[in-house]
Amino acid sequence: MRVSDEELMRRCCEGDTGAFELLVMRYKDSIFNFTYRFLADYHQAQDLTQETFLRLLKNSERYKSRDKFKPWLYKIAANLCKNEIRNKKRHPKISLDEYIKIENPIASSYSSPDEAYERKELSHLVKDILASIPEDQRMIILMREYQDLSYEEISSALGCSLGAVKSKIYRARQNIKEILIKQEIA
Amino acid sequence: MKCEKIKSLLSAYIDGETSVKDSRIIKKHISRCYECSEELRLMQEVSDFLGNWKDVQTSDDFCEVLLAKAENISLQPHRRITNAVRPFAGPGGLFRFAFYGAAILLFFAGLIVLSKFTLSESPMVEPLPNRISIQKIDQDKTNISSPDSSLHYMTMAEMKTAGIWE
Repeated sequence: MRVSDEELMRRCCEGDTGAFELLVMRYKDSIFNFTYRFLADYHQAQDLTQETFLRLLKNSERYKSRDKFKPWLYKIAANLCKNEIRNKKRHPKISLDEYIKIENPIASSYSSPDEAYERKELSHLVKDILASIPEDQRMIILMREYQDLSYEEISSALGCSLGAVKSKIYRARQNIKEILIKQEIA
Repeated sequence: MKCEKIKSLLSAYIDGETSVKDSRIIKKHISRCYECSEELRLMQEVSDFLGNWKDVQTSDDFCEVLLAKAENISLQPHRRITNAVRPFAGPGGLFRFAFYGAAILLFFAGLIVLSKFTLSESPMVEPLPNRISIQKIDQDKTNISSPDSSLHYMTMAEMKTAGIWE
C-alpha cells in the first residue's frame, strides 16, 4: 500500500531520513521540470530543486499535519523561483545553458530524425511563448498544464483565491492563443 | 448564458473545474453555438500545444548531491526539539505562561518590598562623606549659615577651608 505524502512528511518531521528520501524520489522530477520550465535554465533549475527539498527539511517544523503536502512543496519551489527571477533582474548574468546545449533525453528518443527535429522546434516555440507571457500567468499555467495541480491546490500554493486562479489561467490561455494565431500555428 | 460568459468559463471547463450545473449549460450551449465551440477548440489546442515541451530529466548525481547536502542539515525530530525549546507551546501552554509570569512578578515585588524595608533601617543611609548638614556644622561650633535654608550643605573644599575636614 502506498504511504501518503502527508504521512511521509509526518515521519520526516520525526527524523526519519528514509521518509525524506521517498519524498525526494516522488517529487524530484516534477519539481525540477516546474523550475526548469519557469527559469528556462537547466543548472539553475537543478540547484533550485535541491534547495526546495533542503528548505522542506529546514522548515519541516512549520508543516502542519492537516496541510496538503503537494501545494506546500510547490509553494516553496514557487517562492524560490520568484526570488531567483528577482535576483536575475538585479544582477543579470549569462546562463550556462546558452553555452552548453542540454539534450532532452525524452524528447531526443524519437524514431526518425525529422520527428526529433520537429519536436525540438516545437519545444523551443513553447519555451519562447511561455517566456513572453507575464510571470504570474506563466507560473500558474505551468502548475496547471504540466504539474496537473487542481485549482484548489494552485490557490493554496500561491496563496490567492480560486477566482484569481481561474482568471489568471484564462488570461494566460488567451495570451498564448493570440500569439499562436499571430504566428499562424493555431 | 450569453456567449461572453460561456467563453470566460471555457478555460475552467476544459480543466474540469466548473460546477455540474455550469458544465451542463456550457455543453448545451456549445452544441448549438459555432463561435463558442470554435473557442473551445482553440483552448484545447493551446493545451495540446503546451504539451509539446516534454519533461527533462535531472542529472545522474542529483539525488547523491542532494542527500549529501541534506546530511549537513541533520534530520532531527523537530517536534520533540520544539517542545523542549518552547515550554509554553501545546495544550496548557497559556496556563504555564501565566503561572511562570506571576511567579516572576511576585519575586520582583518581594525584592522591592524587602529592599525598601532594609534601606529605611540601614546604617548605610548616611550623608555622603564629602557633604555635611548645617546642623552638624553648628554642633561642631562653626558659624556657617544658609541664607535661604537650614539644610545648607557644604562641599568638602568648604569644610577643608573651615578647618573641619582634614
